[in-house]
Amino acid sequence: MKPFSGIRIIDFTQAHAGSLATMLLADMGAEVVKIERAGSGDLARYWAPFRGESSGYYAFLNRGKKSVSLDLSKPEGKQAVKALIAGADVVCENFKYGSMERMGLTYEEVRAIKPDVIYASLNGFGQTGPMRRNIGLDLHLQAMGGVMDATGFPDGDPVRVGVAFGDHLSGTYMAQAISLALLERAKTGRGQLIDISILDALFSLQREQLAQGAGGPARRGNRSAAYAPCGCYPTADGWLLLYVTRDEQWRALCAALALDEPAARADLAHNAGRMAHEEELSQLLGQALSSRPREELEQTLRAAGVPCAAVRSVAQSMDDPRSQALLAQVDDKALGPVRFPDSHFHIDTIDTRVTQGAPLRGEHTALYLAQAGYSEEQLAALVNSGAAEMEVRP
Amino acid sequence: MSILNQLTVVDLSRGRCGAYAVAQLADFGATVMRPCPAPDTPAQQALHWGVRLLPADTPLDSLLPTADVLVAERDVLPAHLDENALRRTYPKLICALIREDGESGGPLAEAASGMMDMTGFPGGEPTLSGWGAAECFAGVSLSFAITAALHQRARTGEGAWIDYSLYDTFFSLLESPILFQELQGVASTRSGSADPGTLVPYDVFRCQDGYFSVGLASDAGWDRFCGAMGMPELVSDPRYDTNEKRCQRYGEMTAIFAPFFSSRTRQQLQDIFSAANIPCAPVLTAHEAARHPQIQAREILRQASGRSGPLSLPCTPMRMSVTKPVRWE
Repeated sequence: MKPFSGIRIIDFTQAHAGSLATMLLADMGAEVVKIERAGSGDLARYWAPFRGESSGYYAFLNRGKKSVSLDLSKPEGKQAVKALIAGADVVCENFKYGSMERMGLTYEEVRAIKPDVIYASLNGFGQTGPMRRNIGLDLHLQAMGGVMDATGFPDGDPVRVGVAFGDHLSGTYMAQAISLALLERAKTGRGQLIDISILDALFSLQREQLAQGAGGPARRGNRSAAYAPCGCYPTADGWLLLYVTRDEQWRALCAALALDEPAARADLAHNAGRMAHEEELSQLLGQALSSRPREELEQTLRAAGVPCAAVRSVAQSMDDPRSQALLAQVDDKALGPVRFPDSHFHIDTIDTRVTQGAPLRGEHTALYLAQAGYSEEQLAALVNSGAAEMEVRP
Repeated sequence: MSILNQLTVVDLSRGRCGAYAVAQLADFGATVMRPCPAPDTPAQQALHWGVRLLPADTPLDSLLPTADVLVAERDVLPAHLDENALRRTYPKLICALIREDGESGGPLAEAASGMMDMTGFPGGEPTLSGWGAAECFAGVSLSFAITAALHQRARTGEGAWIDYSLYDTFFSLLESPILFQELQGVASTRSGSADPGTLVPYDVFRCQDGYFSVGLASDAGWDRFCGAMGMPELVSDPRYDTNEKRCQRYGEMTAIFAPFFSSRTRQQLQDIFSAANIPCAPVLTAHEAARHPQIQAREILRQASGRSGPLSLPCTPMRMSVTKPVRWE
């Protein structure tokens, strides 16, 4: 049994952030029934990379979910989705602002069908505020949320964090909010409305910067605001990140690199003194490291107790046995055998390993409509009218 | 009263991951007890906001019998409290143990996982996420594992051992380059703020008073983008008329766009691109973001009393109609 076994989510999310939220909940046992648009399906089905016509991105974000394909612009399609909502614990969506209202599926309307429903919305700017109607892509939200301004070098341009950071973060907050709302429902019997914004999510990480006061440069490159020497250095064959936070690590570093003169200097013996000489230390270490092979340096320094790591490409990281254990191997119906990141949660009482791929569009239409009381004839009529679709291969 | 007000958390963590994990719980009423030295900088104070400081020498054995959750880096646990001892002595306790060191662990995991190689400008230095953003994310993610374990405990009566790793967490953010490698054998690396393999225009440009981001989500909107910049001739230029061609000529495109941005302010650019319905945003400092009308309207900021005067800090971004975060004072 898993924490969310028995919880059914009628899932209107698509693309990244919302789908990531329901992915996290599915990994933890929730039954996630994705409502896909008849004729096209989730936007992520069209996201690179592909194998044949099938998106790897879709497979990753939707592993272990079910798919019901409906045309919600048709009255019969809308009626079908309402029948599904009647059996839902949670309804999720991440359309742009106002879309659920146009479909007649606002919180109030959904609550009329299922009074204790947990209804979770996510988008770039949220459901309130002057920008609620704007579309924000990950780039724009990292720009506005303070993350980009803090990433990069003091004398260079700001730069985005090179993953779908706002999507992962806000999706995680959405999953956590649903988890809290389920605790609330267990305690008080009440459902509720959840409103997550990617911008708020990114801004919530700025506590330290805001406390620090404005003025100084937000970007510190790869140096630390608290410790020295920290930085990234070219070696003979790649970059090495060095992160010395304690005096004994500094002594070990000097010993391992035979830096006898700096080791003897009293002004460098303590962190405060090293912070004051950051630039000098950076040049010194740059020279000491530049001609030596990286793997050897990493091994030597680690053995000496100096925190350091080779900066590995994703391809190099994937070759590491440690990373291989973090890749789920599934046989996806559309893609065939594929590997992608598994759940990163390792909990002794919960089996979070991903074993299933993503659904074909409409793969579970018949199953769930039958459960909702549709007869075979009614289902056939729905399919014939185009209001529902069954199992479409890309 | 908030939903976690019966929850007691013992926080021994040193780094941002633990701090952000317990902050999520404290925001919803959990009592977080932290037997550690008082934070000595404003930033550290903000990081550990909402926790109850205890004398650093408070024995753990006096706290754990009534605790629901323990959050710590593995290396700060006393030797007599290993996995076996903790699980045996406190069978209902949810132990969230972070593998990496609290000081250097986050940056080293960004480097080793591949995340750092994906951040920064092509040809330039690989770059850590600013102010430990990746590690803060890991804390939020850990808090989800903790509440999942709470649900599980409500069902089974059992505590849990959460073996949490920053490396694993960062690796899980890399689905895009991993899938490109896996499905197409294509190796990815950092590409600045742009994504020239997939979308052009989608980038950050230097402007008169800072930087400005603009980008299309697909091929649609190219005509409006060109119109907004007063370059209608680009729309049907056969060198640039599809996203695919623009991706191939990313450098050329950037050289054409850049002067338009450098001669205008963020506000002017915002007005121009918003009017054309093109997704865009200024690059804001954290302090500018705090004053932005959208953030103000979201009521995410809370007053906190700092050592050198009041502070305005972001509370949880989880807006819920019934389950409310606590107010700080």
